[in-house]
Amino acid sequence: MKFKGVSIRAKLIRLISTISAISLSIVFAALFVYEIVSYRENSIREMNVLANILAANSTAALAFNDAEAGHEILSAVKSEPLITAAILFSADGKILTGFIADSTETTIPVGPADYDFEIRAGNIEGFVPVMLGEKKIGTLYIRRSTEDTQRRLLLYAFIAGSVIIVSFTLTYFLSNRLERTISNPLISLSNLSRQISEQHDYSVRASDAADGEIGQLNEAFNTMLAKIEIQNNEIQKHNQELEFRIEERTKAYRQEKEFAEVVVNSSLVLIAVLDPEMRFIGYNDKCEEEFGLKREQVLGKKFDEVMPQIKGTLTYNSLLRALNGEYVHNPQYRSGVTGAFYESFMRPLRNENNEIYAALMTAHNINAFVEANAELQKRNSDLEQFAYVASHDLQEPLRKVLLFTDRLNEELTNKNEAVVRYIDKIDQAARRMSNLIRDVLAYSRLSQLEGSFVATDLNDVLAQIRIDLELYIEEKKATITSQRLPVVMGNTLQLNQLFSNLINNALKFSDKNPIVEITCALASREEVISQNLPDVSLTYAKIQVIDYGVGFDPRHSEKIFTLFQRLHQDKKYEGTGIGLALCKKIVANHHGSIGVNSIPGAGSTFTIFLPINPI
Amino acid sequence: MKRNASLILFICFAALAIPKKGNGQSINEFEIKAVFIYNFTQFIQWPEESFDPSQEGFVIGVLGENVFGKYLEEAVAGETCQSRPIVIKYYATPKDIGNCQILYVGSLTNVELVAGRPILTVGERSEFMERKGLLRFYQEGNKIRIQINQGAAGAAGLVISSKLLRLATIYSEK
Repeated sequence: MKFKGVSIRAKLIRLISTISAISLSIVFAALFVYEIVSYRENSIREMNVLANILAANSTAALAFNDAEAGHEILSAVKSEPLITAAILFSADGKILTGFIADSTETTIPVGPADYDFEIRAGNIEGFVPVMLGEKKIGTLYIRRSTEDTQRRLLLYAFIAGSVIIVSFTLTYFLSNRLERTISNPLISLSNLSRQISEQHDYSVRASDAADGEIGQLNEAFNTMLAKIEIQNNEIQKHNQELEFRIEERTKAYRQEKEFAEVVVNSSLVLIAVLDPEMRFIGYNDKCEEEFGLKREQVLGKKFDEVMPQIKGTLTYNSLLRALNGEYVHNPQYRSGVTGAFYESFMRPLRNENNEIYAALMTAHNINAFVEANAELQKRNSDLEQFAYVASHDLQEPLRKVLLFTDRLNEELTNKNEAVVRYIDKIDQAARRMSNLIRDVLAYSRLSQLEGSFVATDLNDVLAQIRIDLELYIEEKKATITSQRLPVVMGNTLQLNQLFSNLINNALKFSDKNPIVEITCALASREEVISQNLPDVSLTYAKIQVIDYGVGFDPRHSEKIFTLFQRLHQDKKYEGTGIGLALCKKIVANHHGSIGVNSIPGAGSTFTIFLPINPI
Repeated sequence: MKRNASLILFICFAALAIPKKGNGQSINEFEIKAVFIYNFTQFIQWPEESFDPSQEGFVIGVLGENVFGKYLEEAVAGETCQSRPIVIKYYATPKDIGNCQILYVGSLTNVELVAGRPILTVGERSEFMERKGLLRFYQEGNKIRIQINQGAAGAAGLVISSKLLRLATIYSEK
């Protein structure tokens, strides 16, 4: 830096000094040349004039051949020491008079070739004709030394040299002094910029003492610094903001990630994500627990590499299907890996370009459920078996009770009123019990009759019921209307019992001239979904049995389908409480559903959904 | 020192100036005088009225004996003065003198006849100047010199160049 400062000084001084020296030299050289040329011209002109004056004055001397007079005339110039020779020649070339200052000189100029003056060997010399009127009567030779010119030029050169040296020296000292006004602010500016670049401190400012261009430079520099400082501050502020924002986002992202991880890992469901190469990219705690493999052991590895036995299984193929864009639901299957039962769901995961980048698998172990279900089914079946056997075996003693009650009634001839009433009570209770046993038997039988489904025309079923209930319908003076009903796959006897029970109920809970309407329509999609049916993809028929009887409190619309549940304790509406439970079971057996809507005093509407084409 | 040297040199030249005069008279005295007479025409101004309209040019008259022989004619051959051709006339007696601008009278002295007229009278003798002659030749050493009566010439209307006067000695009447 110091070297640079010195350098700019030296440069400035050298520049100014050199320029002044060169310009002075040029001026002096020009003057010198001018001096030489003009002096030469002047000298020649002066010589010409002098020679012509002499020649004019010499005419008489020549004309009258008067050497003395001629000498007298030439003597006039002899006083000038620079005139080193003057000679008058007569017309015939002879010397009339003249002089040569240097006596040692031997060569006397003779016979002028022309009448011009020229500088030769340090002298100006030449000839002029001496004219008398029109006639040339002689010639004048005159010579002048240029010694003075040389002396003069020498002096001139000396002065010029001195002036150049003096001015160079002066310039050097002056410029040395003056350049500081230029270089000092530049050097301080330079120092300042170095300081800034080293310390990155943009708050410093250049001194504004300087004026002119340096002052402008300082000002511009300061303005620039101020801008840089502002920008720097802004940048720093931005950076801080940015950092803060990044930090916040990172935090938020981490929180989100942690949240997702916690959620995923807390899940009781197995969650795994596989990329299109079937490599694990996601694997939750439940998976670790279930498969006995740590996350680190599986992530980034292929499924069949980690668990070779998976290849070709339902899980594996379902994942491949999911990677092809399918949604796959496996309600129940046994795993080839763990041997347990699972329900699983596989779906593709898509990025913002709707490209599949992974398959998500969620599964849960349903082993306990499957086992419990099996146990339950076994128990149910045992129970039903017991109920069947029990009901069947209960009929026999009951028949005996009825039989002997009847005999007793016949044998007793002297019966009082109380005896008659007792016997009647026994008979009624026994009949009621017989009905109960019959219904329980029928209910328990339902489970055993599964599997024998045939295409059943419900219109035929209804016709058979009309025949079976003919007496009852007549007694009640009832009217049964029906729309056209579909053909369904099912057990004819059960379907007969279903509609028989419903129509019987409708007639039973109507006081006089009951009207029973049977309607049928295709179930809408919304209705199918809202009915919680086992297979929503099927087509269902919606069959309603409507009566205008006593109805019931709609709060009990669920309760009435349970076994031995009776709403009306009134003797008028006697029953076993099994009929509607039976209906519900029959509908369930046929993969349908049943529900009821009722308004007390206005009637009830039973709605049945049955698949039209069950498997 | 230099001055002395040049002086010596001058004398040396001066000796050369009249070269062959001393050695055997190779240049005739009258040959020189003839040239001188011609030269006068170049240094003297004649009044215009001095020229008679009838005359044929600038006339140089020679009175009496023709001492010049052919020299004078040779000297003025083809020359002019004041735009007039110079002619030579010979007058045997003073009565013969006609209209002329220069009149050489030789050793004669009686020029009163033309005195006061614009004629340059040229003589040889000293009495000539006393008798109103305007110019005479005389010998000084080897050199032929001239004496001029400037006042009379001026009275006669002639204007003599200073250059000529410088060479001449001026005659002044007592």
